[in-house]
Amino acid sequence: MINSEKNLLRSIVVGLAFSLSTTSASAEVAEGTVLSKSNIDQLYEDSFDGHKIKDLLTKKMEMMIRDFGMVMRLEKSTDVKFPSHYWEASKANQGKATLSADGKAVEGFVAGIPFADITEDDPMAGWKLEWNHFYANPLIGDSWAASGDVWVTTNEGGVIDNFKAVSAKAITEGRTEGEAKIAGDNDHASYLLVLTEPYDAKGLGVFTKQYNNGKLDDGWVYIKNLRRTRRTAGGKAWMDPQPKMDLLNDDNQTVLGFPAFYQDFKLIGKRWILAVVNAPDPNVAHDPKDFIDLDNPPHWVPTTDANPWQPREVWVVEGIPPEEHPYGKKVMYMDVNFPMYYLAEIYDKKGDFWRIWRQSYSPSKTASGEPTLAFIMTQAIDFQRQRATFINIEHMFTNWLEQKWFNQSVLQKAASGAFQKELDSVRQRYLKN
Amino acid sequence: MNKLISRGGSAAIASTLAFTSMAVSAFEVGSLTVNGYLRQYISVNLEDQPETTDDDAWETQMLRTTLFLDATLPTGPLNWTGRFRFSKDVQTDYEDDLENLTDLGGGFNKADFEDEYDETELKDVTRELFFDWEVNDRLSLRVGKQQVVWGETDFFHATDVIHGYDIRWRSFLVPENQDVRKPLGLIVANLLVPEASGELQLVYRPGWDDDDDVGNHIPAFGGRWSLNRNKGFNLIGSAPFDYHHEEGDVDDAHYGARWSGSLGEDDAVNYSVSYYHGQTGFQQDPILVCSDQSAFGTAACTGPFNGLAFILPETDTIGASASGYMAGIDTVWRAEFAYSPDRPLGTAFGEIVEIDAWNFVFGIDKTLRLQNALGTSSPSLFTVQVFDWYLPDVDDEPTAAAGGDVVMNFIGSGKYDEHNVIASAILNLPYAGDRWTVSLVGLADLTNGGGAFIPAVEWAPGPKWRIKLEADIFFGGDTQTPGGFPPDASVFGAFENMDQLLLRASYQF
Repeated sequence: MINSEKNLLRSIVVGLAFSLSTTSASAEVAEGTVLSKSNIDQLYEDSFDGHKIKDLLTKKMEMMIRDFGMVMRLEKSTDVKFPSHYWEASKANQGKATLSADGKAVEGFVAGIPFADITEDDPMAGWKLEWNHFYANPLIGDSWAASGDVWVTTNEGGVIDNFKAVSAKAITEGRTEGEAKIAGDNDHASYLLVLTEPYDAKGLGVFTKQYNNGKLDDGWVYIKNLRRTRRTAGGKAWMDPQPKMDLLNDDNQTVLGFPAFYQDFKLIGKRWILAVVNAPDPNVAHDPKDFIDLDNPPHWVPTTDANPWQPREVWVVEGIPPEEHPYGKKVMYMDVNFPMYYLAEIYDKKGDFWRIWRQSYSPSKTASGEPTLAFIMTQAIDFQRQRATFINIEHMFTNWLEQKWFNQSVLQKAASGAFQKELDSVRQRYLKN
Repeated sequence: MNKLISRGGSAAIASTLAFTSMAVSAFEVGSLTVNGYLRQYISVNLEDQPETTDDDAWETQMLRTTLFLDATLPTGPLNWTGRFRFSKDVQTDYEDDLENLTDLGGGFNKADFEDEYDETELKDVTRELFFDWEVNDRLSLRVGKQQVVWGETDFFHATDVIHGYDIRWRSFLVPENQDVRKPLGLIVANLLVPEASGELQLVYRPGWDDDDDVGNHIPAFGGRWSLNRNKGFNLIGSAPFDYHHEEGDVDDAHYGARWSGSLGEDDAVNYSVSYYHGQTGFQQDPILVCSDQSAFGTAACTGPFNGLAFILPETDTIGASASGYMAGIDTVWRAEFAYSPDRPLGTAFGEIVEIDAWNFVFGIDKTLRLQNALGTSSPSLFTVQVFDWYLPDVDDEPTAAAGGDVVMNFIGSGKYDEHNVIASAILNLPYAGDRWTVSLVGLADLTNGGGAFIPAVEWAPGPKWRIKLEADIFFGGDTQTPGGFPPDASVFGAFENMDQLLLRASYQF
């Protein structure tokens, strides 16, 4: 009898809750609800995971839902974990790094997040956040490798191009697993990029060195058709368009350029947004259409199955690039707990909205078994030209790659497919762990 | 344009399109991966050729189909690579006319164009076949038929002396050097020495290649790329190659070493030093000399052709290269020099003279951001190179250095001067999201005048198709004296009347 009464009571409560949810302006939205053009007005004032839906959407994300058919499956916030050595280094070295008065130089950086205790009233907060990102983006870790399947689409025509590349980055200072510094005093990071498809581009590789003192990048390119490695002009290459894509080199992880190349980084404030941190593991075989609806206009909407959107508290940082940069400003959204961006809204020199950059992330693990994040996709959507670039990540590893892959002489070897083979090998080990 | 597609052309194109309309893609069988392309070349003359009686303007000059397969297969510690190219020319009416002209009567001295152009036999089809073995983190080996490229500059080969080039079917105009470089059977060891910021490469050619794998394959058989006033004349039929001459025997080993590394703070300068003992060195063309291995078996040059033969002389090449970045002007500079002591060269009398030869190259690469000025979609690469083939004490008049004669280049540039300077400039302009690329190439002979202008546009509508239209325009320089022998044209004067259009369509997989 008691159970029957309980069941009756539960039915009444659930019924009431359902009734209220359809009539009240501040009801709780159920986890798994798909926010879309058809229900955004209905759910706008409702709450999810303690936040009103309207407060979780930036104006541009709302525009993407209302005008372009963006859909977002809602998920409650989860913990995001990074390696213990990352947090230990951040704690151990806290207070050692100092920022110059103009924000354009950091002294005393050792490892981990250099400026962990940032407050909204700190006038240099924007600079500190970007330096945190430069030195200690946990997604990169000590080294990072990924292979990407790049799809270029137009809103009306669908897919217009497709190519593949493998890339990797190693930071050579501020490492948190092993020695903190493994190169010269001025070295910051090394990058390797090798195109793998289509055939005429296969083997073309670029190796870049980035410095921590404002020196322009150095670059080398292996030209497959000539079988020759050539030095390239680093100069302003960091702000050049990436071939065929709707991205600048500077858009990699939102800001790739040396922070001091920017005119300013300003903290706009703190808020909550919806972001994806709990997507499927990119290292498990998948189809690009599992992640993006490539078949239907505008051909860039993330799928609901692979992209659960959850509330994340973020810093809103406005970056003002130099005069010669193609962008006027970037409004960027960084998690308040670690220096990793979820989203950037990009404006042209006239101040008109131009592009969106965003990534979906998923839980992953390092070679030593520590938890970390990977990303399953990068999206760059050009709202002025009505086209988009979607990078479907096929491999993604943090702290798995040996340092031997980061030098000029590896370009020729990588062109023969050796780097792709290495990533395949790492994936096998990753999946076994 | 009514002659654009001549005999056989329609069929060739139709079969190409029929093949490519099928769903062709890279394929994998187990660990074997195969990529490649199917390509059709069509070129037409823009000018009449004086050697023939017909008006050759707008005549189809080349109809060539190529299937290229690039296969990789890892087997344990070895990674195998095989690159195979099957090429077939459909002989055009124009080429028929030239081939018939090479017949001096009763088939005497007649060239076989099909044999010169086609790649259908296994030894020709197998472009490269080698394995890589990474012995340890420092030492790696590559063994087999392959290409090894040295130096900093493209098109001008200073320290890049290991291979010859096959320029019979498309002269020097193929931008992808790897497609015309002649691979050789080599054993190559690379040793990383990070302590010295460098890498040592050792190259050994045992000499197991076929005779004609060494040195340049020259178009001097009377075909479409024979130089002006020489089309329809089979010089090679009269002066064949002597591959086993005492000055250079292709059965002998070639060998060399190259150290490459970086110097200065933040790898400010990349540099290399190299030595190679091979044949032909940095002027890969053969030289024409009196030989006892000629078509007529006579030792002396008693007539205009008797006893003449092309040989590939042994050379030692000592070279160095360097490159760096000038941040102030956002420009990369490249420099290279090579020295070949006692380099054997031929005179107008067919004698061999030994002259110290030098090769200097300097180039700059500048990234131009022309998006606002010209509406391009990405930055443009602008490259300028200047090249000097320096022969001390040589003149285009008889000199003591040449034994009282002149030093000749029977292949293209006629008589050599002390300085033989050529400059090139290349500008690429990407448009429409980099799907269209306009390229402008200019070449100039700063010693004898003349040059070439090569505008082209390539359309890359997606990952599969590449369509390129190119014009090759030659101008100026000293032209060949009609009926004159030996040749007296300058580098670009030798291309008189050879303006043409090229359409290249590729379907890649």
